[in-house]
Amino acid sequence: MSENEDQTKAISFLLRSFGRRQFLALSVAAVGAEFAHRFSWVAGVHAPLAMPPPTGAQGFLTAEEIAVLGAATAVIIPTDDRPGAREIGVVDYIQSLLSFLPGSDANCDRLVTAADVTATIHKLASADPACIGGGDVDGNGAVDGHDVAAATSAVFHARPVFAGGPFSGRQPQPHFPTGSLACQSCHGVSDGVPRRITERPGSALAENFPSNAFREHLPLPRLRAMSWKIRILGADAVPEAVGNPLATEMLETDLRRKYRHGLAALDAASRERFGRSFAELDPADQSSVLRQADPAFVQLLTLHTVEGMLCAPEYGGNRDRLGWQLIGFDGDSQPLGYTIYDPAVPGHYRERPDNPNSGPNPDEDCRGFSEAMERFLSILSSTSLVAPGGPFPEPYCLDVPP
Amino acid sequence: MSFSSDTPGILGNTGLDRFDALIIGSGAGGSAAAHVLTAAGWKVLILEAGDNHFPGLDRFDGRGGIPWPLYSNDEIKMSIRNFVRQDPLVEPRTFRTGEAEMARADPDVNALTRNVGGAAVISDVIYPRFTAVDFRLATALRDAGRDFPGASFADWPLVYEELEPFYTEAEQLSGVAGADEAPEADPFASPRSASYPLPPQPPMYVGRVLANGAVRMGYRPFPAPAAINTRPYDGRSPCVSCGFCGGYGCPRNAKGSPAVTTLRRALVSGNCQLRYNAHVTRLLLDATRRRVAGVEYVDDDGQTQRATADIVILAASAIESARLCLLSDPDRAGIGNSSGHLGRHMLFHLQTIGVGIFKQRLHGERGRSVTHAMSDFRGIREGGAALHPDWPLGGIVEFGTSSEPIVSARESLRPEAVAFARAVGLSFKQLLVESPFHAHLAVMTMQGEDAPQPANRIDLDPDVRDVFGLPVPRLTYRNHPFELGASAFYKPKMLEILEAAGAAYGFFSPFEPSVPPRSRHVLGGLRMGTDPRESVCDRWGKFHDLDNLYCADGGVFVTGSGYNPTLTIIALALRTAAAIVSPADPERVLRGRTQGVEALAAHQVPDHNAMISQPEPAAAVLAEREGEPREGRRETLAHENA
Repeated sequence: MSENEDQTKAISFLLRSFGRRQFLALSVAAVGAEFAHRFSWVAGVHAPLAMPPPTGAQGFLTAEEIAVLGAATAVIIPTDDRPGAREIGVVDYIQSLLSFLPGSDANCDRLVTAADVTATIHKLASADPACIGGGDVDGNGAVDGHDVAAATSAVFHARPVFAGGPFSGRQPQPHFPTGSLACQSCHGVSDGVPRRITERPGSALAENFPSNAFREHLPLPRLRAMSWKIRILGADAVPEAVGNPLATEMLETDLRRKYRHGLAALDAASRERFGRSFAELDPADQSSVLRQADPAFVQLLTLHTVEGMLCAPEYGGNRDRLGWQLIGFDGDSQPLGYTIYDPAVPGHYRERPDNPNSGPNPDEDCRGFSEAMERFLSILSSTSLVAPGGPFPEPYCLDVPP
Repeated sequence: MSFSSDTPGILGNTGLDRFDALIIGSGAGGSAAAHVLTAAGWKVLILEAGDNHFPGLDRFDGRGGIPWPLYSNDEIKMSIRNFVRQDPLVEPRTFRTGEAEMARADPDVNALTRNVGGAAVISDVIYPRFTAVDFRLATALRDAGRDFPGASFADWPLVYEELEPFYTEAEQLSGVAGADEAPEADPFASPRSASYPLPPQPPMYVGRVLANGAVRMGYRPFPAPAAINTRPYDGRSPCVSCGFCGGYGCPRNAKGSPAVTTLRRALVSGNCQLRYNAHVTRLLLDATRRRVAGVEYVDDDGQTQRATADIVILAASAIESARLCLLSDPDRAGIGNSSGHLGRHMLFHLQTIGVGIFKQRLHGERGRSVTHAMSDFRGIREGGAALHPDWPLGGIVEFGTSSEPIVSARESLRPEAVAFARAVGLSFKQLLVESPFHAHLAVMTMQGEDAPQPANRIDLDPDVRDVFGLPVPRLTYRNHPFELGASAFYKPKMLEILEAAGAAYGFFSPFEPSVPPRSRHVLGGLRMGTDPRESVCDRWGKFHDLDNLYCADGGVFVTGSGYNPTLTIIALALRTAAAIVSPADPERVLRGRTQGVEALAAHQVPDHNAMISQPEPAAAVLAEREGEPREGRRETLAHENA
């Protein structure tokens, strides 16, 4: 029996034994119905979710809002001969961020899966406070029927606020026994080039890539949970924040309300000016609407677009690591890293010939930047906005032929 | 007896219920003090406001090593979402530049972190020593006829030679990698009694590029001393140069941060209990008002708890330690403040940040944070014993870069930059793709010494409250012409280095006097000195006004020097704790130090005596303690300290 089938049975049993009457007593009949409806969707999904959910209406943002958001982030990072915000999955990152709720890991196993819906129901039945915030998914201070619906929604967006550690499994263990961690006899890197080792199938040492701890959701201690409620739900959700002006002033607070209002305002402006919804406008008109929009909201959008492009994929964005590829960034490099300890060589470190620590890559040149970028850097480095220096007359590249 | 804990919220020996010492804060200073005390057999309670990201730090992983931490190469977690940094949405601070101004709440008033092991866990662990002249700077400036009105320079109540054995011990404990022989060594460093325990770090590209420029200009860069393993050391694995270093906890415990060195030793000794997510809100005085009877703290369920011990050591970092003294006095004048100097003479480092954009990619995403540095702009003579005759006092210059693409992109998103980019027909996407502020960036950071000033201070904000309902720290700070002049003096020289290194463009991060300094080097406020009218703590870190309260963090610093302060914090805390366990001869605890955690790991039997001291002297101190009336012993201590 699969894990999911187990969970289905457990939840069905709980729902039966819990009884509709108790749901009614908690004035959550509608929630129960919605939960049952949504759960049929959850049951078909592997837990934990390996891929972002299909871009759509599940989660905080509605399908209409998702459409506006997708168009707006594509104005910020458009698709050209390289991938843009759409292909990189920025919308999924933002939807996950907004759909996150502090207590959604209700059974405190550091994963947000269908099992947390079960755990939330358990806690509802037993009034078990359990781990910090766990079960109080909507953060209203009580574990109640609303949390079941909220937990179900969170499962669709099983993305951590703080991903676990230490390794993502994208890089292998280094080679030399004294330089390695757990895998004392793994030999993933011999000549400086990492490769996957599978020659001993079935053995514990067959896999020299560590497991992915980034999929785990680290629990939030009390103060961090308060902070995240302020971020997602606003200062009103945390009465203790009353003496702190930053809880209302800072840009990255009250995110749900800001996105709901901001996206609606974009759409309203484009209907007023062009008679069509924002998502249906051509890019030039979208850009024009965005330029006249609330600068604070545009700044928020831009920040989250960058995060959604360049985050570890476990946070929902950076699909297929397209964001990292776009800027030529290798991403997390542990446990391999760029210097491989080897007492047999001078300096006790070997470099990776493809990605050396102390010099340029073999295929890199000294060509510099595009013409537009050169203009930009000339202006920037001589302006008084940054204490002036300026362009230097004879730049050169150490270790790279001109 | 159980040495390790499965209880949430606790590390170490859960069986302890009576404590000889209570330490507030598990950072560089608190952990160093805990190590010395527990090794001498003292029972120690540590209260840490932050969370624990080292599950199983109090046990062995089965092969004698430390279980893996929760740190990772994860920019969202560490830099964007405040996994460890003090969170301004729940614990704000306020800032102003003078007494006449209204202070404003600001998201980053020199915020450090909230976590087991403290801020050094996520620092770049650059661990240079201060030099001999730093400890008698007031005299040196006076002799040179240099006068700085408004500044409160003073000599330290100890000299470099007294601290030197503790520097050596701190380097051994932390595993500092560096070079100490010419021509590689820092020519401006003061003499040392022992070599660095580890060979220097392997050079990274951006460090080589900038060091090349410095050498061409006639300066003498050296391998930056860092508490990062360059070979297996102390049961921890070597660094692999993963690139996510400064701002990040090490995923493989290759950084010799306080958590995995001194704190680890304390926890496995069986003499230590650490409660995390335990936020101390108040020190409680007894009826005499000469002794701290205990502390009040709020646990992670939001419940107020009390803890008591014979002595209390403040190690919450300079700003929070001063704040606790203020919060603990109903009149808000501050306990331990008969001098009126509590919270004053706050020190940071004025960072002068020179930025070079190079044509080639510099791969800041690889390597340690900083592998090369130079002391030529510190403004002292070779050997560190005297001032440079002409050059002003600046600081160490660190050669580094940015390894974080999201943070770099956020910087290049500054509205001015975006407006310029648009004007020259450059899209935001092109900015990210060409990545001048990430892939092509080289950064020189001078950690310039700030002049101490009595007006630069911490007090309690009259309006703003944290989530505990307590007044937050208010920083009043304005830079002195002393450091502004030095910054202006060295800037053109920094540009020359960038040009000589081959940079295409060079400029400086703007200096903004209206915002908080933002430096993570947070010092002063509980200044040490011999005269109780001019200082808060004595030369051992004990409060002049109180019989059993000590400070073991950067608060006691008299001047800030121009070097990264963590190693000095550790050395001072080791010395303070040594004076507590062995008042007549503090250096006794350094003798006979033969075994470290490696030896423990081999047989996995905690043996606290093996770790730092000869068993007999420690036992003798304990016997003496037991046999003596409590008050009498405190008087002895006070006498010897005086």
